[in-house]
Amino acid sequence: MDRAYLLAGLTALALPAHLFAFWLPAGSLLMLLSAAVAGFLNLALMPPVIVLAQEILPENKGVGSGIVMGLAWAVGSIAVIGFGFLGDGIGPRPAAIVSLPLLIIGTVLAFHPSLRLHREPDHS
Amino acid sequence: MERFFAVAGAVTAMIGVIVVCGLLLKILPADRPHPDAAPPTPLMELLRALRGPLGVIFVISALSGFLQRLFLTLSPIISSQDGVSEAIGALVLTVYLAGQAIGTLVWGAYSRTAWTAPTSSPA
Repeated sequence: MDRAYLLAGLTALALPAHLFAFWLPAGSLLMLLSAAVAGFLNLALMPPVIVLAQEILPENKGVGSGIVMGLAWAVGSIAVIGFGFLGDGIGPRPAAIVSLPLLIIGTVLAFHPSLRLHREPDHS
Repeated sequence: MERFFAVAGAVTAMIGVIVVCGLLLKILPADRPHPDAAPPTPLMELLRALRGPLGVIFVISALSGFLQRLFLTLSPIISSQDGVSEAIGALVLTVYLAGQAIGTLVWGAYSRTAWTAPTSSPA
């Protein structure tokens, strides 16, 4: 499978799933279903991302995994602080929904030229 | 006052964990690298790798982490504002995390079979 389409598909589909998970009334059946799908799609990114990182740094697989798992998630977590302030200003639901278009960055980056050599699995 | 004692309790727990970690460092055997292991890559070289494809993957992963943390942070507040019980709010988080666990397992298994086995293409 072309990994660019995999990453793009997962990030693109995660956007509406999270939108419904935030927008629908909390605790409703549809909302719970959306939350399950959103969680599924969000962390489904991790295995291909880790495999890619290990192929990009074959001599330092541990460090590559650490960068995309630990450092990246730490950076992502810090960004939540800003949306916490936004939530205090406009409400948590609008703040959450406003943040979702950021996922489009991931969808676009999946087709970045630098990933061209890694779009197919490395069977070496 | 109650809030102070709650925070002080956390500090006490932290001190205990730090002490235990220090003891473990003394007790556990040293990590001896394999004689054939390559020397660790210099930090600057690793940071330079972030300018290439690794940096792209880094951003995608950061977005995933951001989204997860955002949901875990704001969902309970949204649940509270919607007037649902704490149990329902916890259920929402549980369902989300369970979905994440399943997603990791499913795609991890798929990655293992689809990306490690050699592909056969028609001649």
